Amino acid sequence: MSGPTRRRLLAGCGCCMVASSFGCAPPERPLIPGERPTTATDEGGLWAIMDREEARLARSPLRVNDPGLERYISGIACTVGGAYCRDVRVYVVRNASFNASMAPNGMLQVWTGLLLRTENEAQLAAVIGHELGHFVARHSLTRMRTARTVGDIAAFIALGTAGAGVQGGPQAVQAIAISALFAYSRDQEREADTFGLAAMRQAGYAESEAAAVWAGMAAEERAEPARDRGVPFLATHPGAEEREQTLRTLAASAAGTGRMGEDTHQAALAPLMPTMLADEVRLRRPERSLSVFQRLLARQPNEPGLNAATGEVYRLRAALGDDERALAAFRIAAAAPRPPATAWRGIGLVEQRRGQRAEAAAAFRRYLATTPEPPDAAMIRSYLVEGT
Amino acid sequence: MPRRTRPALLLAATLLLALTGCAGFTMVPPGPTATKGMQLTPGTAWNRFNNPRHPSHLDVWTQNGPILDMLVVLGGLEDGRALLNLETDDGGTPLPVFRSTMTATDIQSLFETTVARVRRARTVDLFGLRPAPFVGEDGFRFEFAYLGADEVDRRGIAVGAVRQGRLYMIAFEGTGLLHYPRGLPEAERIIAGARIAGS
Repeated sequence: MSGPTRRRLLAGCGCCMVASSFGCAPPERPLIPGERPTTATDEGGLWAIMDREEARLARSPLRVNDPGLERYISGIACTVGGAYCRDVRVYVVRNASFNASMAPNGMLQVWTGLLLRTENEAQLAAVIGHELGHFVARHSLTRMRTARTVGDIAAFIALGTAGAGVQGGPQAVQAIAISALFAYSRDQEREADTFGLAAMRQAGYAESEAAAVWAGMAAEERAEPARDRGVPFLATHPGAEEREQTLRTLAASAAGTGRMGEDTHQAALAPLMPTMLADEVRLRRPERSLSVFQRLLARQPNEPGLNAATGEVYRLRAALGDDERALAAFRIAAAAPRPPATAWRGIGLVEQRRGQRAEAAAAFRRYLATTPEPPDAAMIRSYLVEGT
Repeated sequence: MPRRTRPALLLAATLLLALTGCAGFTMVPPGPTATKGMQLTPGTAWNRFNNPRHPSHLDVWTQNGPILDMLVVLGGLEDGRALLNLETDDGGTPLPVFRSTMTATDIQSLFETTVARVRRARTVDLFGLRPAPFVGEDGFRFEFAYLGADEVDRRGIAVGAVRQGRLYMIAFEGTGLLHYPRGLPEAERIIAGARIAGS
């Protein structure tokens, strides 16, 4: 094979970098705004399958029905997406993991775990911009076209449409498998990063915030004790540090001005915050949760929900010194004009554990008095009786 | 945003085959039956779900298959052990463990986290935590509801007590639409009649 031909082939085969038995397909031309492939093509078929998935997602009980929040995120998608504004449809999905993905037909999913971890509008814009990059460049189509055999293609389609799973192990397969559908090559990720940053720049957002998202994830992963880290290839986001570095380098030439949009972001997320915090605390990965909460608290140190959630993490972890840390956090939350229910309840439970009966009783009474219909009222009242 | 490679898929597929290949069902006839240090008296026949991955303190019964309904019997769990020993979805952070000094609130929280991590519940709601007798001890009960990745609404009750430092619990769950309300009366009968063996 002659020199120039081979070089052209290799240049077009960015996907060959991935360690897989997939073959290679040249990159596609970018999507035109408003474009919809004809159903007779393989791309059209892929869209039709995704349309069906979208119809299912639209009525899923895991879809968060918060019109204000959806409007807010759609607004960002439009600002960042420009001409592609009407091609994107936003769905917020209840899932405590850090994830956002855009299907080839324009369905954008943002998981609540990701929302919780964004500190401002610019960070969310970075994520959306990146996903738009995959969408506009039609990366999923390229991935599908690299499938060498009918079996690969069938697996690709099946994984993308995997509906109800069964308990236990198969769901792990499903989760990994669905991720594989949108698994992009290194080059594709870089392309999406570049697109996302350009979109942010055009929309007036601070480009530095793209790296900040991954800096947060890297810090969270480092926070997890080494003994608790899972098998590497099952890790949610391999290479968070690498992503941070890439985005920092790409944004290095940015002007340095650009809006963060902290206030609008906090206001838009406020109604869903208690739910997102509870979902995170429930997972009982304390070091990870604390990493996230402390990063958010740095910007709003007295925010009651964040402090109550921090208190809960310490209370549940119950390591040496955690009782004091929990009480300190709960007390900040309890001092707010309308404290979260977990604040006084948490103080009561910690004091009960420490054997401080009077303090526990006082806190439990405050909890019962200030919380409408507490789900554990009967048990808390029994603790009051026990304590006398 | 997430990235996976084919080797991960292959390994996961192998795990899937291993998990589903071994489980079987045996009949539990109505009448007194001993299991996990407890004496239970089902009023109707149940199917015991024999999953080799279940820990020694667990017995799982079902009427219509574990996806639709489950009676989970937990007998004599010792201090320092988790409710389940199955792999969690992130394969990382271990499940929190039972402690003999735990309050009912703590045990409910343990249950909640186990459901969230092992059953991959996206939402978990807890209701009505209150003192209640169980196996002749001062125990507790609560109701719960959760949505797993399969998006089916499931409801359940859990009743438990700590005796001599060990946790005894029975939880019954089923689809909210049919199997939970239908199976609840029999589950309550089993719970009411449950005894610790030799007591």
